[in-house]
Amino acid sequence: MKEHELNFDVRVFSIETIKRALYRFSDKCSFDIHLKDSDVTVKIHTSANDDLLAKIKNEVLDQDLRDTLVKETANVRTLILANAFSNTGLIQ
Amino acid sequence: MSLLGKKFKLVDDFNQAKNLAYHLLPSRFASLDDGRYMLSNEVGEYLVVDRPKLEAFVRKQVGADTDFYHDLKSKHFLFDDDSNVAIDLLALKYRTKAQRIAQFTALHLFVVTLRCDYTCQYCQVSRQTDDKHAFDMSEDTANKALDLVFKSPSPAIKIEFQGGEPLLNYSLIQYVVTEAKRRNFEHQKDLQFVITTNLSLLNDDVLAFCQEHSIQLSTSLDGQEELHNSNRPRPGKNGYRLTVDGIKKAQNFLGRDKIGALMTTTEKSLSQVKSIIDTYLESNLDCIFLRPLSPYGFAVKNQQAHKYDIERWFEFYKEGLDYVLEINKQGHRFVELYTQLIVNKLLSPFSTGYVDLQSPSGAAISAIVYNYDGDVYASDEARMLAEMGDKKFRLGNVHADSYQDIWLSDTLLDTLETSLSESLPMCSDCGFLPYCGTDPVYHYATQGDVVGNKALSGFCSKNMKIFKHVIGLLEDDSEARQILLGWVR
Amino acid sequence: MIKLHSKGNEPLSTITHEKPFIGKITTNPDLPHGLRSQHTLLMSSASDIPDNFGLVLLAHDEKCEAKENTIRLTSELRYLKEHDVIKFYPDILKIDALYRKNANHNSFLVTEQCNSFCIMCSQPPKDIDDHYLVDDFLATLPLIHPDTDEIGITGGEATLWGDDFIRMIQAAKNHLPNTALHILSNGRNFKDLDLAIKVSKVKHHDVMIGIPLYADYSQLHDFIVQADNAFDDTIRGILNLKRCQVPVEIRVVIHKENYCRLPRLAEFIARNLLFVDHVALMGLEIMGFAKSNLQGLWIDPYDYRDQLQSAVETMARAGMNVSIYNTPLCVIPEPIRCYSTQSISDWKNDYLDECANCTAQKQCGGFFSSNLTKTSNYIKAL
Repeated sequence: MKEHELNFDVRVFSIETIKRALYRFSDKCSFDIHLKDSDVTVKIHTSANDDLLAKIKNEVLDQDLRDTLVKETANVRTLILANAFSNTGLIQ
Repeated sequence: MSLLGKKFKLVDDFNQAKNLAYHLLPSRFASLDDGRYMLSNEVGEYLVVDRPKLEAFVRKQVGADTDFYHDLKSKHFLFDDDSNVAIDLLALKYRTKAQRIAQFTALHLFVVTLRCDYTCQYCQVSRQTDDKHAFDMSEDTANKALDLVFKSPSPAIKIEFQGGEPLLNYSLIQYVVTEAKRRNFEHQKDLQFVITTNLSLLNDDVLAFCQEHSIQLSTSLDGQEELHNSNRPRPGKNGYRLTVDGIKKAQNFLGRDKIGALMTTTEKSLSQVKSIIDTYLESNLDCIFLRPLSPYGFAVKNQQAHKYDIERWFEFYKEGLDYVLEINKQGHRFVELYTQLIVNKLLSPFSTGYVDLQSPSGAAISAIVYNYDGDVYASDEARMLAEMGDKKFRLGNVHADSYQDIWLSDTLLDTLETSLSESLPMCSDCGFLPYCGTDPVYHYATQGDVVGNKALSGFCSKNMKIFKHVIGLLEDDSEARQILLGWVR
Repeated sequence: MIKLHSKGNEPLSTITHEKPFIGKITTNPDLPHGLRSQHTLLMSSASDIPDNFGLVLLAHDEKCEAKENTIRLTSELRYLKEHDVIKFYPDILKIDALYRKNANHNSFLVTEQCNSFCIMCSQPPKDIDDHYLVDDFLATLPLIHPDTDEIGITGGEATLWGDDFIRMIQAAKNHLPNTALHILSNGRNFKDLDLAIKVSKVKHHDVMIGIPLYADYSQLHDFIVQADNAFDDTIRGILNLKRCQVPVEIRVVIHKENYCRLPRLAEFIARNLLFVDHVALMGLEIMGFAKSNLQGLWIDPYDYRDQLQSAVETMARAGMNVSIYNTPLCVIPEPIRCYSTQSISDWKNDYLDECANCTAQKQCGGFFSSNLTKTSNYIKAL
């Protein structure tokens, strides 16, 4: 079991983004997360290899993109669903 | 320099998108392989893109005059001020996909007996061979179950007889079929029947009855003789011989399209996929379902081991699919049913009926189980869980509870609501969400709650591997693509 | 190719008609007197000319004694037969063949006005008041033979006539209860749901509206039809018509500006417009703007065969009814030849010399007469 450390700047990646990314690796690692000022420190406990760190960092980037997608499309998604379930059937 | 007459304006003159800007439409993405992602929209249309393209798309930096932009617009990943029909069309498409929920419960499983003449190593069902009636479904129970069946809004109803060995309670099958057809005069549903049977009791009477009522048969064929008999021992007889002969008999009497076979994968099967497929070819069957490892040892103590098993099964599946594609390349149509299902999910505007890969869960919405004693279960897995002592997903009993009690029970509704993919960690932003499903019973059994941590989930791991593999084939292997497209229904 | 109009008709007597006369052709000189004034008698050989016919046409060159309303029919129009309907202009001695019973398709132009300006339009729009075309159509309908399989309404844009458009559909239903009606429209005015409802309320027994969609995204479609918002209007129109359960066909004319996107258009249609009743993928007719813009539009159909195959297969796989129009079999990839139909109206349908040696000529639709000088480089007898 090894311990690694990753650091993130919370002004660049939100805590939510980081947590969601780490969650995807919960089968391979466990994490301790600390926030001080704008510095997020993630302690990673794992028996997997170093390659994992790169994957985690990339996943944070991906998760950041996902967050943008969700935030920007939340309203139009509601609109689509509302439209989908409003009563516009066939006209007899 | 326009090649058109002076009266005609150019294409840029018709672009009303201010500053060539665009807006994002709801989409998700998932990593496909090194460097590639699949991007999917709310209704399951997808594009395979590399990371720079993905990032450009999300950051709204795609050039307005590029093919990529046009693809994103046409497939409803973005919209701009030049057109406002995207939302109407997406809403229509979403309704189309959601239709199956309004037309719920097409598949009704009748467990007509727990008695069985086999001793399959992976069977969870208690096999009782002495007191005949204690473990057989009665006509009274069947009648009550049929009351519920015909309350279903689905225009198509499939009644599937299971067991034990259903043919051991053949008289009840006859009763249910004739009674269901009689009641159907009033309801006019598209009514179909299936009997899942090991075929050992398939005599001329049964065949004649099946022919008269267009009943389909489904049997188990696990592979060549040694493998099949080792998985599915039939005391005193050669199960493999009985099965293969039974298949042939049914094919000749009822027609090749009236009998299908499923296989259950065990440890032993994992190294023999080609010979299993060959066995199917020898029996003149034209499709196979490469099912995941048997849920024997369902409540696995060590979640990791379960996920590791998925890795090994996936190699088995890949090897099997490769072989199936090879068979097709040589001009012989042979379909792997799970892959066919996935390809249909990827390309069809409709949702498929496959119970185990739906969100909201197929539990009760797609299928429901009436046990021999009248207990009603949300799915077959739910019944197996009950056989092992946990009746969490028992929704009621046909003798005690009404249609509303059962379909509107808290157990069911809470489960459906809590396990909806769109609300779950990892699922809610996963690119494969439109094609995947949620399996509350599986996650409850393996992790203790209906949601589960998908990072630990064998269900998730298996599905992601298959999606990536199939999308990869469609994208990169044009021969495979042609074959797979030919399987689309 | 045959001519549907000609002025080369010679008057052999006084003409009493002051206004244009629309009449049904008969070859029966003994027609009951009460019917004669509405009919045109066609005589193919010299004999006594009976009285009281609305018009008498001599399809021969013999001398004849003529009393009134007798015309020697120009040789160009001597294909006319019993049951055909003609329009006679007394001032310019012109005869139009409005309806031919033996034609593979009879189409009625009801206006040349249009709210689009398609870059490949074979019937370029004219800004004139041509309401007489509607009157002619309504006058012709009762004269059309009831066994006719199908008639068409074209333009210009027929829906510009508003209530008269509905009137025409109703009249077609009233007079020809066994005849299908195929209407060409850009679909844009159906974005108004009321119009779609009015069409469906007629309850025509067999109507279909053929609507063009040229691209899978708005900017390109709008450019091809030269009108902003045309894509949106058309899509909304199609959706409204289908909500009212009116049969809809999507038509795609393929040329240099849109052939690249054809596979994506097929995917778009298969996903978003799956419920339309028919899709026609069409070769270019080199007439009107298609002719003047040819340099910007022409692409050898052989060169877009892959896109065509992909598009057909995508939609066929989705369970849609697909046809290929106006494209010779030899330039269509073999696996999709079965989707090709003989779609060209007989009067403008021709073949090349090469086709005489072709084993598939009988099944092949051939060419537009106007296209004979510009065909694919890959025409070859099969």
